[in-house]
Amino acid sequence: MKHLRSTAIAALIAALPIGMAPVAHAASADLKFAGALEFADDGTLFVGDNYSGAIFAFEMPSAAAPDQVAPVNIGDIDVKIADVLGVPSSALAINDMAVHPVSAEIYISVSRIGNFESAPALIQVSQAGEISVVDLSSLNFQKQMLDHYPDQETTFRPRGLGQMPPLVRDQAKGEIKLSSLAIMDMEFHEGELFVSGVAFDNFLSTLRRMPYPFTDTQSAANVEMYHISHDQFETRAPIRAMSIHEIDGEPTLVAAYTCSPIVLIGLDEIVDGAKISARTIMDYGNGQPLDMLSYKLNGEESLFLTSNSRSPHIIPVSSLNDAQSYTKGDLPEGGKSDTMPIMPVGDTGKAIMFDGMSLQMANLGENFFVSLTRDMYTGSLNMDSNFNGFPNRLHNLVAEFDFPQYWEDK
Amino acid sequence: MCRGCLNRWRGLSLAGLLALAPAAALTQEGGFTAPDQTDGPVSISMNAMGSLTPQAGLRVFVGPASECCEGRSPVSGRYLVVEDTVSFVPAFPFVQGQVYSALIRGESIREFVVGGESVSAAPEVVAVYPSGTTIPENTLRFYVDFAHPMQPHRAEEFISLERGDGRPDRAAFMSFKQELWNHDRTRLTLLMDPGRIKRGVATNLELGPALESGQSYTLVVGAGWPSANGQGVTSEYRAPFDVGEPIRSLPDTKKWTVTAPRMATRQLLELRFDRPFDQVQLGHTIIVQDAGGRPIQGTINTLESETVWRFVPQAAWSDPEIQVVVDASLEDVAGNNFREVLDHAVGTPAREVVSTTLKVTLKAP
Repeated sequence: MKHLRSTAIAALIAALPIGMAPVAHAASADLKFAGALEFADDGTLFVGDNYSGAIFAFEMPSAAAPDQVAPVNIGDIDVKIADVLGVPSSALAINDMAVHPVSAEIYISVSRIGNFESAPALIQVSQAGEISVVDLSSLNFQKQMLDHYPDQETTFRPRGLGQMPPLVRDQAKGEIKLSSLAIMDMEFHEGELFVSGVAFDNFLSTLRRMPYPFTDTQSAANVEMYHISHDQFETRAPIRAMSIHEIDGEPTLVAAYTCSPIVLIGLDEIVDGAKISARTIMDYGNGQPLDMLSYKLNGEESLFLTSNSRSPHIIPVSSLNDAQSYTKGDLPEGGKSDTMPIMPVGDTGKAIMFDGMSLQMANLGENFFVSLTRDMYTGSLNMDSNFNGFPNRLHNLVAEFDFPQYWEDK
Repeated sequence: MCRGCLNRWRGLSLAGLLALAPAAALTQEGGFTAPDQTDGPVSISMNAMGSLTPQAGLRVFVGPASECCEGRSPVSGRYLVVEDTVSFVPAFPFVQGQVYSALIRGESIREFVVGGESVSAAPEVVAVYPSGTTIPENTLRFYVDFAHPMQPHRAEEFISLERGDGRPDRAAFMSFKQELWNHDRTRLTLLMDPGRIKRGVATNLELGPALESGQSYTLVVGAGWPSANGQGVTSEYRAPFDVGEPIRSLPDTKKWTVTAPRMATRQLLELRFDRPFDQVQLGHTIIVQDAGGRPIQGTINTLESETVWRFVPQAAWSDPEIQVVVDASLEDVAGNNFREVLDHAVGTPAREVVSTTLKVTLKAP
């Protein structure tokens, strides 16, 4: 998750003590995959390595905070990242994006394919829009192996829509490993890293928490939740995106799932070996969440949720206080799709306009969202920074205001 | 940047550039040396930099001179200055077969390609599995192995199944929106539309099975599919095969023939199957162990249309009795595993089996 904490920007630039934890390393990082990214308030960058079953914590150089955070806009960002990696863009895959909380530099985790190898790389985009490769071998880091890491053989079971047999594009899931869901999202909160994903031999939805600096101690709890639109309890599908807030006076994890319930989990429930029953409070409609950003909209703490199949959704955090919970039997029986009158359920948010489709999004300073946006018309992938009160561009829109006569009449 | 040189080089072929390079340019550009291996370096004489820093005087870009270098970012790497030579070492190894352009002093461009073999080697198809000349009507998967990493999202354009009369069947593999590549994009998995295999479902009734027993077909990988680095394209590859009766039964290890190796040698252990199995899965679902259950390291080969599996141990056999553990998830070419046939009736319970262990007594030394 991309989480902005303005309080952190001025302070805490000093690095955390290294060498305290038993897992501290001096050697070069043996990172095999650069997946999920999350910054600690001081600029430590956590990188989820799904191939190794580990979280790496890199101490990023403490760059100075800019006087004013600038929007960064780069067309064809995939081509330009591929350029610095020495490959064409067809040999690149983009995995995640995060923004340094102090320097406002943008970091992107990618896979680079060349010479019969898939290699992880971390890309930095400076405030001036310069793209460079982070030299991981020069950074101090810690590595935390994850307990109960799932096997890397088992694959999805293909299904068709409803009673239909699976088509080839559905059958393709049967070739994808469940361990690709092992590290979905990470959230740093008051000295601890929270990690969502699937774990254990039977691939259960799991929340982990571990102190940072790593001490080799970690907790893993299974999460069960009532899924409103599927009308069933679910224990496997993992949390896709999450954020931590005080709700009803308690520190609470707000979590988003596919198709698309929002659930609440008290942080004190996340203890090793626990079977958590999450509190389902909302289902804002079918689709798959991508990112959950926490930011201030008109002074109000809010969540900005992107999806691979819906417009972004804005939910005021305060609206989650005193929320009604839903469980089996509370609503009419059966699956619920977007077109049913009862949907959405308990939704306190709003769908908003967004030009194109955001593959990755993060807070950039207090005023901007930076997004890797797929342009609707050209298909190009662009890094766009927009004012977070109205995160849009105008170039694809034509309206009354674009007529010269409109202005002549003014 | 470098307007003049763009015009100067535009339109010249790579071969032309390479031919031009040594004589005239070497002196002019101060001993430019292209890398002869993937980890570099690109070198040039310090004098050729003029008053520029190494970072400004020597920059390397992806792609040919004709695309260099406006709006592009240089390849990331380190600069070393030893005596009067500047060397550029890329952060990631140069990709074999990829054309790069070195921009010198921002005004002249030298193209280069790294890696002797792959410069000439096109991204050809090297194998298609199942490799049998006759495959069952309900074959589930094909694997296409390429000599080079390939551009994704092009399979629908370049792969087709031709009937005996030369008519292409575009619906055989249906959609390729989610292409199935291995990590380095050298192996593509193609799945037959299950609707065309499973009996009685809509597409099977409308279109008939994609593969019909008694008929001949050719899997065609068309000419022109670019490799991931865009520097070569496939020539046409045709894998002809006949189609035989479907396999709709569980595989049975009791019908396999095991040829035991001799003790204290590195003779191969051979399994002859009752049917052709999935070539990729054969690489990791059959494990050889010593009597105590510890895995024995070795090399696996499949042959005779994936009906024969051979294992050569790294070290000489030392246990008089070994065991071969066959994972129940191993599928034959029709997707039937040891638990259930792919096309089973709804409600048929799957067999509760995790693996089958074959005990093998080695021949006396």
